[in-house]
Amino acid sequence: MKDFEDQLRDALRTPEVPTGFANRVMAKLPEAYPVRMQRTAVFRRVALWAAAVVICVGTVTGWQVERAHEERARGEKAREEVMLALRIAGNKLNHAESRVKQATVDDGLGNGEER
Amino acid sequence: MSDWRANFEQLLRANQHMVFGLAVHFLRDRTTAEEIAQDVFLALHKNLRAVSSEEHARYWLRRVTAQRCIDYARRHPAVNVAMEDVPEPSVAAVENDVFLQERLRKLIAMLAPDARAVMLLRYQEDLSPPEIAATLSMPVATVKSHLQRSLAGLREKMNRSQVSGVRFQEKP
Repeated sequence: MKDFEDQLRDALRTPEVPTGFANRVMAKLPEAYPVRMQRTAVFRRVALWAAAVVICVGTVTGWQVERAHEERARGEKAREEVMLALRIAGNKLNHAESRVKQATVDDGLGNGEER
Repeated sequence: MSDWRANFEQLLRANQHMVFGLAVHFLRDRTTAEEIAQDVFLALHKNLRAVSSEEHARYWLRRVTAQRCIDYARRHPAVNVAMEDVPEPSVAAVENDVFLQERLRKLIAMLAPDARAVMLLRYQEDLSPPEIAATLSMPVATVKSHLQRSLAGLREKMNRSQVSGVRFQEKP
């Protein structure tokens, strides 16, 4: 009786290759030795990666520049608003001061007269 | 004809049985096996510069064929059937019977892709577990575990179908 593993070896003996298999493979080969094609493929892959890296770096840099620009514009606007508010407050104070002065003159208090 | 073409053809003719055999036992489909075998040899042609000797080419071909078959089986899970789902044969198999060998091949084709590759490299190519581990880039312990489990499963399945008293025994 044959051992089970020997039965497996018998069952897995290499089968006949289809007729003309080697000729079909040879017919599909390019005429040239494949070195140049390999170099081109490597160069293409490297170029593809380089382009991807440049696009990524460009996108990130552009986004950061845009953000900095927006922040500066927001800061400028806030500064202008503060200045406007200060200017309005100053005008109001000047107006109030002049009203106080006017009232003091009208009441004669400005000359130290008693009522 | 240039030298490299003659050398390549020599490599092709020396290894076509091994490559086609692995693919056809793995996939049990001669058409797909031939397509994969052709692709493997065309890939060898592209990488010809990296091949240092005939032995290296044989190792490379085994490795790439096994990997492509595993990938194909994973991409086409419909062709994978669990071994437990394979029906028992209606007639008893006789030792050395062609039907018995055919049944063994069918059962091997039902194994999971990794286990199938391990079994084929072991029993078609007669590689040792460390050689199989190197070919398939897997730990030796995993190869041994695949071998043990697959053998036990196949032996059990075959013994269940033996009604004529022929039983498979482990080596003493």
